[in-house]
Amino acid sequence: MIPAVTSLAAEVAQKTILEELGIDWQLLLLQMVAFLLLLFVLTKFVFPKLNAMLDKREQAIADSLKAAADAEKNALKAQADIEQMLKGARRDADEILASAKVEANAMIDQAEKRSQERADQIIAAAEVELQNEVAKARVALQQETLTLVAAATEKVIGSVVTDKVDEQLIRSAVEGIKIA
Amino acid sequence: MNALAFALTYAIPAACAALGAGLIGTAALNAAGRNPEKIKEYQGLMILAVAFVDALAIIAIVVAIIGPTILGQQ
Amino acid sequence: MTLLSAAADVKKPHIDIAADTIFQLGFFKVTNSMLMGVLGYAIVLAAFFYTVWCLKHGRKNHFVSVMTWGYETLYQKVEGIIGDKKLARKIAPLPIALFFTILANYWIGILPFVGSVSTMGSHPLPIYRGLLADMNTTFALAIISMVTAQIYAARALGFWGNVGRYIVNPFRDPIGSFVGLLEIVSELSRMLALSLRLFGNVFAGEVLLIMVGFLTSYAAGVALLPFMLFELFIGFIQSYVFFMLTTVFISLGLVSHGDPPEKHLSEHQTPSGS
Repeated sequence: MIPAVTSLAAEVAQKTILEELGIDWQLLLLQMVAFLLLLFVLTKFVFPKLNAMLDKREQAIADSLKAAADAEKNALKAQADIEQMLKGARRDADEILASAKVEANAMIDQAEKRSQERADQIIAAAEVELQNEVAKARVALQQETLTLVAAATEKVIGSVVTDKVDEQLIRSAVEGIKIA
Repeated sequence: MNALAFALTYAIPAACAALGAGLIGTAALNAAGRNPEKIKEYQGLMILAVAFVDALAIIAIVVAIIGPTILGQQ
Repeated sequence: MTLLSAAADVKKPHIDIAADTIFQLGFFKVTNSMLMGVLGYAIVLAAFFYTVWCLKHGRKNHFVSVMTWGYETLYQKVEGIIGDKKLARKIAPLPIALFFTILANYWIGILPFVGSVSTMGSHPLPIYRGLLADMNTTFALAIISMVTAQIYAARALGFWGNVGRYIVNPFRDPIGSFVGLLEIVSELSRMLALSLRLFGNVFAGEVLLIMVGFLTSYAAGVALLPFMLFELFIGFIQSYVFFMLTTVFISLGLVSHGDPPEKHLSEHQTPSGS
């Protein structure tokens, strides 16, 4: 009778919900300790190095960003400098052009003046030469005339003209030409 | 009767979970339609929300299995 | 002859929620999930130490890149949810370790020898079973998460400040006391939901694989493939969800209800309880 009752009781006995799910406090504790051990090992040995790598990467990114910003600033400054230089260069070019024009005009005027002077000089020299030639021609003519007159007189008079007679005759002829 | 109880213990939560997941999907797609740029964000949030709802259906299957032994029947 | 009747002499698969004891060392019961658990933890440690060793010696290969990318993504998610950088550095190890533990243990629970190799004798028990298919483990992880959340809340708000979240003087603030009661209930329900969600997914996955393997007796080699892929995907999702929920629960404890709502909580505010 008693074994039958106990077996019946064992049959009807229900498991608690924790037992049914298989939760045993010893095993629970064991699993918690296992995971905490894993966590401790990882936090001590692994995660600091990985965090350092992440920090390095972030630092590299920040540095490169800063370098890019600096480069951009430098580029802008260089651009402004270039524009400044261009403006100055343009101004200089204009100045040079203007002064070149002025100089060119001045040179032309000078050249003109010089050539004018030269022309005048040449003309004056030519005139002087002309006068000389004329005088020379006149003198030559005079001599020629005297010679002719002497020859003619010789022929006319028929005698050798002495120097005195010659001089007298010549003087009266020349005065006669002068008056004419 | 036991079989019906076992089946319904899972069927009803599963149906409601399916409805819930559908509503979450609808909301996520509506939001994505309005703002296609943030689709990645919506995808992450949607999966998180579906996991919440899915958990209830999974708990239901566990209850269905351990229920009879808890209540002393087979 | 259907496939099922051809395999009719095969015994029904043994599905048990509780993990079964394989052998005993004195009073210490070793369950089948502990064996896989040792392997799972060994894999996590090996992966991390290999990554750190490769980083130290400057060797780069795909595995190291994937691990560092994963670590960076998870760390930035933690930083995004917990706004403060210093606090995030202190808090981040727990969720990240949880993610990798759950991922590794879930995935090796899909391997073919899990659940099919049984002991000899009249009551064959499976020798191998995923670590997370044991309710002890998931409950332990959930307890660790919630206790950590409480610890950080106590550090941020002070011990009595933290208690003041739950126990409010009913005569001065009746609605507040009711809300405090709801907070207590929600804490317990969160813990339960965390553990049961993970356990349920692992268990349902194992049962699915066993049943599909049993039903498609000789075609199991082909028929199991999509289910295994599905389990891989679900494993990733579940570990990510556990990670996110742990982080969010810790961050919820850090805010004090007196302040106006902060910006970094507005996108990740979860309703109390699940």
